[in-house]
Amino acid sequence: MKGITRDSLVEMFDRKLVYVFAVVTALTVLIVILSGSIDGQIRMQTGGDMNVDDFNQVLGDPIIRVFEFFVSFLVFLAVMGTAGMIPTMLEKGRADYYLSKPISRTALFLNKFVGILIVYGLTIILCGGIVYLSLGLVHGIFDFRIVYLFLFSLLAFFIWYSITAFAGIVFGSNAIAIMSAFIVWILQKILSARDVIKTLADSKPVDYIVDTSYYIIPKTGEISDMSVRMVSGRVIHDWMPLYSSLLFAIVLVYVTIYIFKRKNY
Amino acid sequence: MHVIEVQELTKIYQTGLKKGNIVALDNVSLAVEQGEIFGLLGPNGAGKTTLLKVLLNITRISSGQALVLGLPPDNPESRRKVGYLPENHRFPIHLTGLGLLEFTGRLYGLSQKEIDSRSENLLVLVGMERWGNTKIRKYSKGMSQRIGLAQALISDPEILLLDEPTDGVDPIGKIEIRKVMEKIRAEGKTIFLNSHLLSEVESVADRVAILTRGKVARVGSVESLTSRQSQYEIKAAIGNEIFDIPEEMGKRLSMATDGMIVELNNEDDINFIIDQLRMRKVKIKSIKPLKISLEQSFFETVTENKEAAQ
Repeated sequence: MKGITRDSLVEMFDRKLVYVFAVVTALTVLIVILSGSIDGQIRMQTGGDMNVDDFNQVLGDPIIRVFEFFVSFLVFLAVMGTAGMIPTMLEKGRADYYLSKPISRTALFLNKFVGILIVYGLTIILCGGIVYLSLGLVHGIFDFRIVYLFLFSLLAFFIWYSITAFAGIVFGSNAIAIMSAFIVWILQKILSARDVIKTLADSKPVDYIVDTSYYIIPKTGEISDMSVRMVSGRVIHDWMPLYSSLLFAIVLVYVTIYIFKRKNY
Repeated sequence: MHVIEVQELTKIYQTGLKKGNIVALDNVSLAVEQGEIFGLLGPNGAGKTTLLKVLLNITRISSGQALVLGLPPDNPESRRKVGYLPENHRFPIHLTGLGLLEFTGRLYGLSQKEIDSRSENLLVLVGMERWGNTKIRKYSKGMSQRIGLAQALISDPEILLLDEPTDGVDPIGKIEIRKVMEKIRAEGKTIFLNSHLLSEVESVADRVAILTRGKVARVGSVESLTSRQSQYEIKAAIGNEIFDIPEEMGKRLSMATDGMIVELNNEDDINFIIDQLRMRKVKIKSIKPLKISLEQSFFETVTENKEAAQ
């Protein structure tokens, strides 16, 4: 496990992905510093130290939204950066190397999967943490609830990575692994307008198909909204998007392992 | 003791309804003894690499049985004491040579101390001590083969499976790799060698199997595959004397003033030939069983099987 996690870290450095994360984070920190000029204006209106609720009073939740967008972008980078890792591990000539070792395919897949989650998860937390710290230093915001954004982002990364890993194992192609994430994202967008579709179709079978698909397909967009609500201190009435999406990812990981164990290389 | 045992092993690749199935291995049975170098020969597509992949569970068995160190291939422990150098390998290019040895050692569950002590020795053994800290992507084909051999040895394996180990290696490197193989055999370890280079197999292998169209066409010691059964080359000053062999005993294949080649129905009848020559006071210089090269034996076996299939 330690070996594969370390290998994932070395691979991340080798692929220069770490520089992309660093550049995005540096740009965001720069924007935060430049936004310091609005700080005085907000202080005048709220007085004293601020927390996220003070921001909500003055600006609604755009700051949280911007921060959430930044963390989501890191997740997007991580998904794109890692989509090809499992197909690469199993490409012709390399699969023989990995599969000839005294480690079961289940353990090999899980080690690689968890190793990538750890390495990229920590990178997201590190980059997010730097931006959070800069927000704190520039605007004086130190609110623990912002941690929810990290937690939900890591769960979103787990869900996305289960999709790209599945496509990577089944098709053995980097391109298809990346495309699979886009396809699911498009489906999510379509299903988010399910009420409109059902009204337009006005058909029971269509209603059934749309509703079933909605419950099956992961809902990372809604998870993202949930995280913003939690940071803003608002109540979440329905946890279904999170539970069903996690269940989808867990089942997909199980199916991926089942297929991987039966494949010839 | 058999370290590798294969019984009636069949591997069928399913390629879709229209294309039909491909039989890569067809009822293959063979056994490899501990401490021997076992060569596997065969034309392209004969199933040599598939057999290695089956032994390592890289490819799944369709029917039959395979045992590696007494364990079935789907048990990961069967690979604990097995080192493997794949053909056309692509090791993780983001690693250095030393990094590859370390990572491989970790996959085998070795401690850092074991990895460190073995890595240095192995780099020296394969002549890569100067290139340990260079990234694999910068290696030439020959260097990749050498580091590949080192990673196959990192776990101090009982069995070494080598698929075209000298592919892309320069002539000196080939000799060095051959020496490494002989050294490993001297340690009582087993080598299963897949190679197109018949001379290489002939020079190092104890036993050889020839695989054609997924079937074992011949298996035996290099000696038995390269000797002509009951054919002898007799060097003697026969001169112009006519020397006939009784029909029931065999036949004379060729004759010259300085010797002849005979084929006998019974190997013991060579004594009759010797007696006849001595009776005529012919000076005998040498008598030896007629041998052919492994290449010739291989060619004949493959051709016979091709004709039989047609």
